[in-house]
Amino acid sequence: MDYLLEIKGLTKRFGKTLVLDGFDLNVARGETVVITGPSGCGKSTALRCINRLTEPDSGSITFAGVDITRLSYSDLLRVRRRIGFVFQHFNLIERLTALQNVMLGVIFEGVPYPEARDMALRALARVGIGEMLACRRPSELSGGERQRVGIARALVMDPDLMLWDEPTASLDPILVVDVLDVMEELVKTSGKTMIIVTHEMKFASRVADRIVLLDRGRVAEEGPPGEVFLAPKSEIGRRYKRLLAG
Amino acid sequence: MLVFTLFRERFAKDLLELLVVSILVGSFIAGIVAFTADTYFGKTVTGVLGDYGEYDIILHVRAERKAEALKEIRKIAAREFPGARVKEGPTLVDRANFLVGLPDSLRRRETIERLPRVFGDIPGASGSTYIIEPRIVVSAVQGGAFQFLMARIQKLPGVRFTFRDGSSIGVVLKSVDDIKGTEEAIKEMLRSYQVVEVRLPMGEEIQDSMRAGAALAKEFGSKPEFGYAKDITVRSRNDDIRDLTATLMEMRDFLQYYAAHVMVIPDDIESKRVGDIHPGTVLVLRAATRAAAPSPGGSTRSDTGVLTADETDEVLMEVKEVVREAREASVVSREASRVKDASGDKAGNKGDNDNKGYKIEGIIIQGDISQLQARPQSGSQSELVARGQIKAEAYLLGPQDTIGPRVGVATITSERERLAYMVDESIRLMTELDKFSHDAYKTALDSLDVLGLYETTVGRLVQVQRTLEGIDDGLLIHGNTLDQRDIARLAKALDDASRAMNSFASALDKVNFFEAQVDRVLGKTSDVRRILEQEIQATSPESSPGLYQRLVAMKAALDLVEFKARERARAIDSFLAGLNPAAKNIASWQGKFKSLRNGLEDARALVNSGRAQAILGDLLDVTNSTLAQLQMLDIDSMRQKVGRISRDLESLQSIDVSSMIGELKYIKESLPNLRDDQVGRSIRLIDRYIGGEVIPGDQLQVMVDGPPVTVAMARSAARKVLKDDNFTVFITPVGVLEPGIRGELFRVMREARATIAALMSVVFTLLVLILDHATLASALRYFAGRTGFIGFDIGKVYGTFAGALILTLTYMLSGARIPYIRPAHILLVGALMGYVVSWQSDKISPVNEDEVTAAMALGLPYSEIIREIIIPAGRPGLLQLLNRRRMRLRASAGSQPRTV
Repeated sequence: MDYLLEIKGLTKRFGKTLVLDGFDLNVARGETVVITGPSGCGKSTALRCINRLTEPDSGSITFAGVDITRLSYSDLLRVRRRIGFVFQHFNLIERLTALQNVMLGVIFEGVPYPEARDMALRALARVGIGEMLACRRPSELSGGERQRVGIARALVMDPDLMLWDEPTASLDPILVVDVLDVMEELVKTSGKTMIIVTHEMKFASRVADRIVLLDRGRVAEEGPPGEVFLAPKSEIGRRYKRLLAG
Repeated sequence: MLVFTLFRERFAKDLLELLVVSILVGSFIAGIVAFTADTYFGKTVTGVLGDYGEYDIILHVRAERKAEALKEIRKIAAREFPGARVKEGPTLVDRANFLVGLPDSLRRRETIERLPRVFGDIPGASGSTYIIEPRIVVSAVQGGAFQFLMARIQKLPGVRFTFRDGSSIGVVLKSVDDIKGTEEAIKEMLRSYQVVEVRLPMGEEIQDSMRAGAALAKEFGSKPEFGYAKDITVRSRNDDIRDLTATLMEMRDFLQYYAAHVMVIPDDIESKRVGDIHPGTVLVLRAATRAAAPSPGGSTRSDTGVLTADETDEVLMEVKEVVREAREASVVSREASRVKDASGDKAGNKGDNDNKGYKIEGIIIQGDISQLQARPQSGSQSELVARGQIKAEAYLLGPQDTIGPRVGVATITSERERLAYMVDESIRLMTELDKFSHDAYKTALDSLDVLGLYETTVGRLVQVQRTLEGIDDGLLIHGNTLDQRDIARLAKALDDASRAMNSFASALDKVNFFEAQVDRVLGKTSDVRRILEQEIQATSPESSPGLYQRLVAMKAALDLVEFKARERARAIDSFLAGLNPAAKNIASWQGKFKSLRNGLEDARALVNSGRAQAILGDLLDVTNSTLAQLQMLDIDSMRQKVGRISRDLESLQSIDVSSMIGELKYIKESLPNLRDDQVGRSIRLIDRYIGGEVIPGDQLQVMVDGPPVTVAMARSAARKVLKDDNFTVFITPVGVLEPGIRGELFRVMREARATIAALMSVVFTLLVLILDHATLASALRYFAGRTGFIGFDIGKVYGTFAGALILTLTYMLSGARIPYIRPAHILLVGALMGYVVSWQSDKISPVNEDEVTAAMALGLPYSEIIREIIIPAGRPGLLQLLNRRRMRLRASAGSQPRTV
């Protein structure tokens, strides 16, 4: 099978704490994988290791046939540009406007300013941010708008792989719906490979091709949402089933 | 890896640019601030001193008298120095300053030296300062070398004239261009002359300074290597402190003179203890006849633990000197304040040597002599002290104020007590002399009475003689019988004569009694005069001139009184001697007369006894003989003599004995009314003060021309001259070349400018480190942490390096300089500052992790993250300014984005 991403035996320690313990994951092109699990199980760490925002201790991460863990610094930068990342806390540059935030990556790709601006505006429009909001600084936007800017910033790079690190965790419930709608729309229309870390089970069951249940740094169970949530094999899966049923 | 990556991303260029700009801007700012300060001070100096060479002197005046002073200065300048310029300078610290410039024709030594004197009496005058230019100043010129140096310097090319300014020589040059050449020539001159100064310790003096100075110069002059040697000792002493010290020394001498002096003769058995005794050792004195001898180890301390005269009854003495009988004479006379002996060895080092012949001298520092008078003795304390009859036992004062072993027997003498005794005796004598003069006068009057009675006595005796001759004739005519009428006539004549002779004899007795009194009084006078003579010998006319003069006057008065008394006594004696033969005859006649008078009681028996003629014959013989004796006396001459005696005695009475007694009482009252310990402590206090004063003792100065004089060479020469080794030798230049006041001011200003630049460099470096480099250090540390870089802390390394580099180069380029601080020190300071700032960089300029992570996720390289994210979020400074042009995305004032 043609996997865009193959992760094998990924381990990561923070001090004495083993966060990832031989994490394996294969993601096919165009596949949407939702990773979920209890807090502290290593979901975000696994995601950050994929573009080496966090350096893994061991294991391999093969992206488009290239082992990311062995890349040189410059190659790594190039790979990162092909992987979009949406952060839980938006991570927007405060001094820049929403538009500039979105343009930032494109500009450094060498795209001329006008083109970059158009691209950014299109990306923003795609997530429901108009030109007026685009000229505002992050501090002048609501949480949902900021997260949509963050999504646009990832989207504008036209990445092969999009990583979503609990994008709605910092939002209030009303705004969550807005963002989830944008995300669902993207999943359905963009055709991009996506790995989403979320606790939104219903959203996951709607958009995911595959659910990966993570427990203590290891994959406890994985499979299509119906399989994992309706007939879980693992203890953690059964707990999630009860949760969804409840 | 990180460093390599950053360098590859050409971030090093950014850093280099920042460092260069930081250093240049820092140097510029530090330099410009220092320059501004320099310019400001420069203008101030020009305001104060005028332009170079424009004015010659600044007159300082108290600010409140400014107006009057200016008027007076203008007046004097117009009168004394026609054409002179006067300018008012700034008023600083309540002192107004006026600049006076002389026309060039008046700029010469005489007028320049006159300036301070001429303007010395202006209202509010507060001194002056020469600012004449172009000028070189030779300062610290030794007193006796002025004329010599001035004459030499005057001969140098380029020198216009020289003048004296306090202890400096001002050398006024013809042109500014002559400064360098003349300075070199003067330096050379000063190098070739040295002053050898031989200084004696405080309180010692050179007995014949002139001779010693000449001898020392000759000593150097005789050496072939020296071409010139001259005594330049200044022998005037008008320094206030020196005078004060001299006064204190006199006062100390005065107190020492009146202090109770103790001389301890060490016991033979304990004589080896002398080795433990040295000046400053304290001994305990106890009355020699005390009932209970002190037990060694007993404490003299009171309950309070403090040994004071008020609290204890112990008498303490401080040893001033331990001496042998023989002493060595020296050219140098010393204060008696150290251990000496004939061999020159210190007594403290005697060890087992024979200590016989030692004397320990000291003064009482606690207690009083009266405490040593153990039992009532005849005579007053003063008398006992004067006669050296107060003795005590001396003991060492042990640790914790315990009484140590016995040292010997102490004899206490006190000039104060001796003088008091002399005065008391003199007063008593004067009182007696006063009475004596009265008695003598009365005796002279009595003598005149005696002479008056002489005539009466002679008259009565003549009458008796005639009566006897008449009776005797009747007996021859009428046979050997007396009739009753003859007997009655004879009896009456005899009674009359007897009364007259009794009166005469009684008057003579009075005169004789006075003669005996004279001998007693004169004996007493001799005693007092002897004491007085001793006192005069003991009193120094230099240290106590008033007392000395009074004592001499006292003795002269006493001599006069004694002389006159003796003269009068001799006159009376001679008068009595003249009367004595007659007096004896009268006594003999009185005996015979008594026998005849008894016979006449039985006249008949006498008449019939046949013895009448024989008795009458005897009586007549005695009467004749007495009369002959009496008539032989030159009564007129004796009367004249007695008259003269009485007149002299009258003049003797006119001597104002009461005022002399008053004078004596004054002497007594003028004696220090202090206890012995108070005197002793005062002496110690003065000694301490004098000891603490850094006042040079007597000195000799010789100017020598030739190779450098070594201390050993100078000591050897001085030792030969002074025949003593107790001196210090200094070899100093004859003067020191220094810039003029303007040059000095500019030098100070240069130093101030350099210091300001240094301070500015430090301040600027600190600012740059905090505002710019802390951001970079913080970023480096952050990235190093993220990439798992281990080893050294790259942020701290960078900060330390940046701090050291910026401060050192800024410091050097700005012309900064701090006295005694070297560039290496500055390098260290900069490094330390950089280290501290980078150590605290996370707090000073923290990295926004979310933003940086986002940028990393977008694939931005480190350098771009620093440029686009970290620096713009950091503190405003040079780094941000320089970074602006490198940023791809700049935030616009509005919300319209703008890119480069």
